[in-house]
Amino acid sequence: MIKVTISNMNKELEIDKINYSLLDILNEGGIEIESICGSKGKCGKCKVIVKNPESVNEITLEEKKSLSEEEIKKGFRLSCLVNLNNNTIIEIPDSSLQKQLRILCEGRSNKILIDPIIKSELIKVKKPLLGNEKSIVDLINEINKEIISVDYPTLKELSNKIEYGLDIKVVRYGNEIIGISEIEKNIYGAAIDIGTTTVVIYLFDLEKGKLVDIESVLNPQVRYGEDVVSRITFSMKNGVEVTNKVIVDEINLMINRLCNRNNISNKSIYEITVVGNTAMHHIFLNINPKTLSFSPFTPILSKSINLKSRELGININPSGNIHVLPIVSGFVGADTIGVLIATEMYKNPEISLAVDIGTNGELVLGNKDKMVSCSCAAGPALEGGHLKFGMRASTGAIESLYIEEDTFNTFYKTINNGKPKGICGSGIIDIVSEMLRVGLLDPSGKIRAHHNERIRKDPLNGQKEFVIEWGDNTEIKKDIVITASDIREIQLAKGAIMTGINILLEKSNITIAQIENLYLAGAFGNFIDIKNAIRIGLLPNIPLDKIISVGNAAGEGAKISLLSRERRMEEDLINKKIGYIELAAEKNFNGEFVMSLNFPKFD
Amino acid sequence: MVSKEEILEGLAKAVVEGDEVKSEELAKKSLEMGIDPYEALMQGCNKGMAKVSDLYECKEMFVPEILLSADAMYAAIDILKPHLKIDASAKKPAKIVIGVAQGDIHDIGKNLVKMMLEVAGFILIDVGKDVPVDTFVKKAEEEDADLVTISALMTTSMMYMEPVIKKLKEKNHKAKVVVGGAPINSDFAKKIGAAGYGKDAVEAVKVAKSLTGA
Repeated sequence: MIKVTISNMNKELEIDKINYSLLDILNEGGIEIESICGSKGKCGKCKVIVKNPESVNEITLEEKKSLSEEEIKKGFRLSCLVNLNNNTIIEIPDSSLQKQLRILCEGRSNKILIDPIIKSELIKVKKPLLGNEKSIVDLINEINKEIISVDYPTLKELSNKIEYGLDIKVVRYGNEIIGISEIEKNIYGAAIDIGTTTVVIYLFDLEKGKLVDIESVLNPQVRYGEDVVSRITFSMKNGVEVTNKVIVDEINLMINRLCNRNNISNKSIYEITVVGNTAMHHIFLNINPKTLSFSPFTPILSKSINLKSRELGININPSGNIHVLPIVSGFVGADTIGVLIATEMYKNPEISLAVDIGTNGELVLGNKDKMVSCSCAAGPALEGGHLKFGMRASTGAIESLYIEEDTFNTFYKTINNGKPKGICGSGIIDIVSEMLRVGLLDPSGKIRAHHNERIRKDPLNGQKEFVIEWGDNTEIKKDIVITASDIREIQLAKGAIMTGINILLEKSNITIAQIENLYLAGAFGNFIDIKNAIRIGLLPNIPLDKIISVGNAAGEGAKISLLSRERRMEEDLINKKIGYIELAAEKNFNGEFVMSLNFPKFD
Repeated sequence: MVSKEEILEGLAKAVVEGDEVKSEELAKKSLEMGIDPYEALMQGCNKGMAKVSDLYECKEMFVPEILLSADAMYAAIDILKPHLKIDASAKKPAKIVIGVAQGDIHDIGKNLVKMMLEVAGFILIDVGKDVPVDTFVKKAEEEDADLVTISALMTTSMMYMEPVIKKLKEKNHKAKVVVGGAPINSDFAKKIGAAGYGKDAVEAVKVAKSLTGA
């Protein structure tokens, strides 16, 4: 047993697994530390100060690169690369702790006919006559021919609840009774969007078709890596059971909170619909995502699947149905199908392009006749990852910015008006766009030389940087800058998305001008300045009124699947209609990508 | 009348600016003026490319411009090459097998590293992308390579690097292995027993030079 004392938090953790990194130990102990590179010592976000260095491993080369000399002197380490040998005393700087996160909860609901697949009905079983050889289940079937079977846990319940001659309220999933509800109580369902970064649950009253409550958290698997590929790697190494348990446990906690808050019983939830990218989908189903890890990135299944909640250990009614929406391919998942269901682009004659920007960007182009999809490895830069002062969208993140011409003075807004700590995705797009507008940046991405104190050269690596805010005014007491390297990272990210768009257009013989609707899905679409996104070449230059932010359309798809029997039946048809292009395997991919790296020239 | 220095400087500048027409023109002119093609290569093309590599390191230049520079350089080299005198006493350049690890099909980074190594005078044997472990080993043996360089963009493909190192060691092959790619760091390289790690194309050249004594 080894003890970790966190001196500035008055906290002690005891552990017996010494082969875990300090970061894992802290996270396991409920102290959520920022880390977005998957414990590779790359992002430099998980800094801690080790007070008794002799108790841990020696500082690694990777840490020496990330930490300044002064920090090293003070005992700073990257907790993901620290292994404990003995009782250790540490201090956790405020900047390493995850702050409250801003997560998008509400997408755009369009009108659907509320007709959920899960239904309740009243059934009255008359007292059978003596000598009648029929069972209760047979009698129910005689009353309603559609009802063919009763799921096992409900059989047990039936024995307790049946009273001859009185109504009982049965809950049906298709031809099966999956529960018996108290007559005066309503039945519920939930739609879950398992994102790589966030998990959102929408609780619905299935009888009224109304949203009751929402619960959202950071995906707890983030501790095993920020991006999908790190999660896959982790699941391959440590077993999918580990990553699966973490998500199932979290979902159960969320459901408990929803039930407590709304004074309903877990057992009154009879169905959950689930969307997520293919890796999240496999892990949720406790299927090892191994085959997604290597070319040609083939998923184990692509059609929708229905399971009993008890098979997955989800704490709702044990007979409750878990409906997982279909996926398209290894990198285009159920979340994308959700986007299609929500936007209905698979039903319209007009050409639409759906863009879901994230670490992996997913794109779908087409109309009712034909659709093609692809996935772009944009990387985390557009969400603040890999950037010197990048951060998630939480308090103190610069979220929008304006640069004054000539003086290059900056005016910005931070989330919750906190003192600036760093820059989040929407802020990054604004900064780059503004730098282009005022002439601080070449279309090639080179920072232009100017006689202005805000443009300077880092003496260590010779890179130019632009000072966004001086240390005196920041939470972190350091100048917040955007470096030449940061700009290059952003070029790679937006270049990846634009390459995807261009290749889909080319393959479908469609021009940008033919796009009638551009649906921008995900948190990103709601928070970014679309004009600026076009200026930096993240989105194609089409009239602004054709660009529609659809919010969390993936979650919207899960909701629709929960509430509309008709639309659910269409899911597997969409899955059949949609094609997939593996970008990196395209002959012109490298050329297109290189061409997409520059910023577009305007004016 | 332009001086020899002006021609060579102009050639270096054309490479930095990625001006293919200019570099070709100046290479021809250097031959007409009787400038030693080897000198034109070293003081023109290579000098220009060295500058490109410096500019890339401090992020003043990026992939698209580097590719233009490479085109400009190759245009000049194509003209100069037939006139180079072969020096039998010169040291043979080191041979490098290069490819993308198994399972991974992202090869822009690999191509960039390959180009920079070629510019630095190495002989490159490109085995492509999604390359099985045994292909790396077989090629290293066939070509009697001095180095094997493996890149990966996906963390899942990183695990196919160590087996290459192990198999080469088992066979007592002289080739040293250098790894690189976005998810890789020097600690990982050390852990799997790689002889070197380059964080980008510029560093890859430095590592290759130091490992081969070039």
